[in-house]
Amino acid sequence: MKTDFYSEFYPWQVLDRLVGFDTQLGRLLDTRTRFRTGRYPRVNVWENTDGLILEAEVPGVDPAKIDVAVENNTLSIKGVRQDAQSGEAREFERSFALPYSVSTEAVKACCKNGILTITLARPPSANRRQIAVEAA
Amino acid sequence: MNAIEKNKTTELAPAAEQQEARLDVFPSVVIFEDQDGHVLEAEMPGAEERNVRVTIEGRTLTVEAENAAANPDGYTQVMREIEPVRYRAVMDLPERIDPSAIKASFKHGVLRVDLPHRAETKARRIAVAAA
Repeated sequence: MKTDFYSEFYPWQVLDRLVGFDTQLGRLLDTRTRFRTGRYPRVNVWENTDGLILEAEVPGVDPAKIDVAVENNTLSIKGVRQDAQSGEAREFERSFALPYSVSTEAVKACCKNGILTITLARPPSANRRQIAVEAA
Repeated sequence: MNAIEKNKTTELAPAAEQQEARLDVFPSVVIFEDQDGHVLEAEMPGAEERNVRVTIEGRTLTVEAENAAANPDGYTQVMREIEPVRYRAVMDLPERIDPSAIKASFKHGVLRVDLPHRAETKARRIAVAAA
């Protein structure tokens, strides 16, 4: 399920508010719901004119087993979470619609302390041309 | 004669809270048992090993950590699902657990606390003598 960066309001915010983030029940339901609806892991995203930074919470996931890929305008994060008790492996995948297309050289990813940080460099705009403004 | 005002000690105003308010959250915790005792695993992504506090007072175990939650300079936030939080879990341990043998480790954002049982509470085989 793709998440549009630029949509200010998305329906899942309603769910987040109904079942409080700060309650244990809220967090449990949230993780399960997110798994089911393809919105796991949780992310924070920042951007500027040079590119963007995405941070994802992936506790308990081996960084070597995380698959970060870009294809056309889509960034996807895929991985496997090992359930500590049952040893069951649960796959997760989340994709993001990017406002521009990036090449793999422009993407850097590192994972530390259960946080995956992806840095994307925005490609220079090939079509941008300055237009002279003439005084009338 | 005017009373001379004694030098008042300047009250040091407490430093303004630098951090934004952090939400207190009970982390996702799994507790299971293996042959040596119990194991507690608490998910604390964004915390760092040196900032995780595991304390035992009597039979009460407290695990605490704060996630990094730093905003990179020069960027505007576009999406926010991860809040700055303080992970905190407090629990009383059963008698079987030996507090002096507790070990803790932190890996990939998960705190693992080994809670071994006291030796005398573990199953022992008793020899049967011929009578």
